[in-house]
Amino acid sequence: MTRALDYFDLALEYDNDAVAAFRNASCSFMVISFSTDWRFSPARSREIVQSLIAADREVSYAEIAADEGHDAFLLPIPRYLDVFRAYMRRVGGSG
Amino acid sequence: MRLDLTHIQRWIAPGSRVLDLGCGDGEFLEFLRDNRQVRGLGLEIDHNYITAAIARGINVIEQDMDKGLGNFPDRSFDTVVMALALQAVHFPDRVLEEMLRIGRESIVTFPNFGHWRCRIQLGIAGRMPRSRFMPHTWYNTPNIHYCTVHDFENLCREKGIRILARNVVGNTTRSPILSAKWPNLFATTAIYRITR
Repeated sequence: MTRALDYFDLALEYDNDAVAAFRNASCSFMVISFSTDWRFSPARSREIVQSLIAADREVSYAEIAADEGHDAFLLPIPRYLDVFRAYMRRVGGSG
Repeated sequence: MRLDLTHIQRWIAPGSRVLDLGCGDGEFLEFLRDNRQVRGLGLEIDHNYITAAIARGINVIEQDMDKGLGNFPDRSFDTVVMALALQAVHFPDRVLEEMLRIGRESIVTFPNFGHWRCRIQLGIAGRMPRSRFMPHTWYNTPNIHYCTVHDFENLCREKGIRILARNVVGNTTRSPILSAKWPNLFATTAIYRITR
């Protein structure tokens, strides 16, 4: 499972062009990054956001300040919960 | 809706793609989505605003426009809007250049520092102007680059920016003629539609 994650390359089948890869997506995106996450750094997330904008896809982005590094996404950080809740309500159509 | 936004919305074509720099809680983009079928994207740095915009179904990117907008491709939006934020950015001239690169046209609104009340406060009372539109004191204001109607139009000339339309909001609705005739003296808020 972790190896599949490590080797996953979004743009591989699209001539290394992430914009081309995203252009086929029909969903909308919520990208959340954590300031101290060294594994999936905010810089990488911003690249994803940039590609989604260039591909004219629906995207929102929030960068959560957190000291907990990569594990931050498992922890109940208030702002993270707020953003996540707001987006999930919207997706669920109950808010 | 805020008065400058009421003016702006008439310049937004139905179904167009709009980038709103400093979109706040997304109220304006929501209005454009519901009334103009606009596909909008907002930029914001305030955490509470970001959450509020997401909650109302508006797409918003957490990003500081002062640190560059290089992640937006040329001509990727029909209109780029920046309402009452020009005076709060560190590099207003650069942000304007970027807006006109990203959008076919741009709409900018700002509080006019040349308004007669400002002039009286500074010129006669000798105090930094404060008003309903500029409620902060000098030491805690986020507004660091005030300009007047004349200043803005000068900058446009220097940069080769074309002014397609100008609209001004007066102090009250009772003096629309004054603010239309002498905008630098009577406009509290100036609204510009510009392009390259």
